[in-house]
Amino acid sequence: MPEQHSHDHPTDSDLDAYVLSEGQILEIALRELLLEKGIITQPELNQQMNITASQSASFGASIIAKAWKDREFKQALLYDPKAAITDLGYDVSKMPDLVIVENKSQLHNVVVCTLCSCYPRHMLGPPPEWYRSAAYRARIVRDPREVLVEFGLSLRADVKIRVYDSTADLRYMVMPLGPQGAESMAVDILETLVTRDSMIGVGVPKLP
Amino acid sequence: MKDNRKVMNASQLDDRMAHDLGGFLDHLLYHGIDVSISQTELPKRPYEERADAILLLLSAAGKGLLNIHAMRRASEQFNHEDYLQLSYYDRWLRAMVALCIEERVFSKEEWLIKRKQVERRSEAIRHGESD
Amino acid sequence: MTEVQEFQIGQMVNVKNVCLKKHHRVPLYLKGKTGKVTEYLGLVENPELAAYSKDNTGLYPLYRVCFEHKSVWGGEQNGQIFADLAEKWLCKVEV
Repeated sequence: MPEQHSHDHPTDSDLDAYVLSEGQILEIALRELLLEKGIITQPELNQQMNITASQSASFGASIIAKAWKDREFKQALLYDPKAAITDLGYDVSKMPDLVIVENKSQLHNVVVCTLCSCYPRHMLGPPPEWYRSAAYRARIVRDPREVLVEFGLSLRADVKIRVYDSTADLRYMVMPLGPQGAESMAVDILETLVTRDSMIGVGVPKLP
Repeated sequence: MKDNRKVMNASQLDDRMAHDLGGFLDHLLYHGIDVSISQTELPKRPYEERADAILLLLSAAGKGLLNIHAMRRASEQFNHEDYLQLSYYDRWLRAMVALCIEERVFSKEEWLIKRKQVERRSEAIRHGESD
Repeated sequence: MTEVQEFQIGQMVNVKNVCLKKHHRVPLYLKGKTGKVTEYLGLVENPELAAYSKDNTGLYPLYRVCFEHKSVWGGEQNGQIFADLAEKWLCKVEV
């Protein structure tokens, strides 16, 4: 279950006996000024932090697992991800438009945002640091095969690699290849196989 | 890593804005950026978690103040060196401050006063601790 | 604004090789490159306007374009790059 963080007195942990970094000074000053001006409130900040804390790749994994198991859901999901997820009973109205790209035996997809670092947070939680790094953003569009090897993923030469650069406001995520016999496996087992990295495209799911 | 691929011509490189990183490996090497992709994941520092929340709140559709496009634009206004050297949140914090001043959420004067206040408080605590 | 789609799926398009120092969502590595329209994504908020004024926002048509890796970078890599690009940044290539 997601952890609820206590966010009272957020400045105390920073004003310990060490020099504040420029970033820390900026954050404290910006936050205080915005609070003083009523642009944001402390409860709103707390709520936002709790929302972020509750977002993780397990949500994305549960959706992928269901798609692996249920062919009809998979079609619906690929056709219109937000609608299909909403039909499951989730409120994704605040989520930006989402596109899910399907891996196949000879097609491997990977996602990047070279211009900033757009990422499907509602599905996968906050992005890992490397996703935002200059190195990833610079290299994945030019040398995807090489970058994937660095992530431990060596694809056969006949597997085509597609890199999706999220240049507009659509977010992308990958539907990794399901294991053989996924349709008859338990969905909670399937969920444990779907890794965050496989939904970005720098990895593949765990073996059953 | 040299091969017979097409190289961007020099004038195109000059045209490039700091955030526009796709394919520009040579540029990272020139600035001494480690191009190996470190997969270490450290927990966010508290100030980064709060910066993240501020960023999301300010760009949220409901707020309508600073839309995501203006935020991105502000986060692009760095020279190459700063863009590469600043951490993600340090960059965004600077961008948010600049945009708030531009959008008159607060004035530059108000910002400088507040900043000084924060600096003085942290100094006071630091000196208090060392007594 | 009536939704008139300039490019059809399958149309080969060239990304305009224009230097712009203002906010725009076209990466330099794709400027001047040729790709194929794979999907029309409808009208979206124009970030080039919205980035500068919350009043002067408009919409612009967006397309998903597929670029062969080889045609962008040279070499022999088996792969493609997809990007979502605005109509105003694309022009038809007559094959």
